[in-house]
Amino acid sequence: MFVLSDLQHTVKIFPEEMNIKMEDRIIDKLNAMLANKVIKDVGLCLTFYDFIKIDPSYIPQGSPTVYVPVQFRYLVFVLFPGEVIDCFIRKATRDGLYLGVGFYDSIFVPAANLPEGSAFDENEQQWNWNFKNEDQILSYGMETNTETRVLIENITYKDGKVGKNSSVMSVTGTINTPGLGCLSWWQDVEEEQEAKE
Amino acid sequence: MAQIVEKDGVEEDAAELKFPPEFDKDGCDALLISEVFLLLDHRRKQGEQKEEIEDISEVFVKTIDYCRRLSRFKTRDTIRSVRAIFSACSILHKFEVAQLVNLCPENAEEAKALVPSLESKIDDEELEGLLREMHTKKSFQ
Repeated sequence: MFVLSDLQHTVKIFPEEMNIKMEDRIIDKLNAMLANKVIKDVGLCLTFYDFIKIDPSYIPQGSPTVYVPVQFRYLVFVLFPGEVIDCFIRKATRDGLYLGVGFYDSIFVPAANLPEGSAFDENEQQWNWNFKNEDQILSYGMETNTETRVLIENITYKDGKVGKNSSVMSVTGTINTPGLGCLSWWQDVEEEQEAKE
Repeated sequence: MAQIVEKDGVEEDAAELKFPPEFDKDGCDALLISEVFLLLDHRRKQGEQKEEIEDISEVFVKTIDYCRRLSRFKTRDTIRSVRAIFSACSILHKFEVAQLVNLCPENAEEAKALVPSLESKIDDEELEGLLREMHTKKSFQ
């Protein structure tokens, strides 16, 4: 979910950067440093929210740089094990489903965590949930860009440098419980029940 | 069931309201997706009004898109009144409030399935009352 995290940092402002209001410059520098970066045990930083405190700045001897210690709140996206979130299907492979929220697309649901009866269609490169309802088997496709509800199971943060295609934050989830998975599945059920009544 | 993640010997599990200390601190607010949308949209408009052309980052655009798609409450006033519904119920943790508003369950059964920590702390009748009020705000906005 989205949270406001208290962070602190000493921002360095160089003489050529003093052409705009100091607060604006500090915000620019904090965003340049933090936006779209994952901080271990904090989450994915998105954008500056507000200042808590700007401490007196100082200029160390021998350098024209101004050092400004600041405390501020930053908008962060963080996931907790046991949290259910709405997101979208991004990609399907034999191994499972990749879900995402646009700015973070690496929520992985391994094949074992898909609803029972799910099968991978090699031609369509898509997972389908084959649901046995009395005598029929109903097939629900898990198409990309469909809204899906997932239960987050595990989040790990990798240390050190990671490759271009992988993320520092690694998340796995499950959609193998009633109420999870594509939202359209549960709306259909409600509509069917209403039709029967 | 969610696995329990152990980090330095501390278990994290939202179903039991066990969070990292940074989140539990008073200063760390859990925001509703609707609140984040209004915030970012306001920022975007501010950026457009500035004379210099500012680059809006890709992450910013994607975050706004996600929030726009999933935001259920459109105005500041509606959000404020939804927050008021839940602040009247002081036993709810900030995580639980955000989850209930973001996921908007129809009834107590669905709510407790999605937010298991509610199971033993609030009875179905009270929870249904809160959800009904919330859905009324949603229908009449």
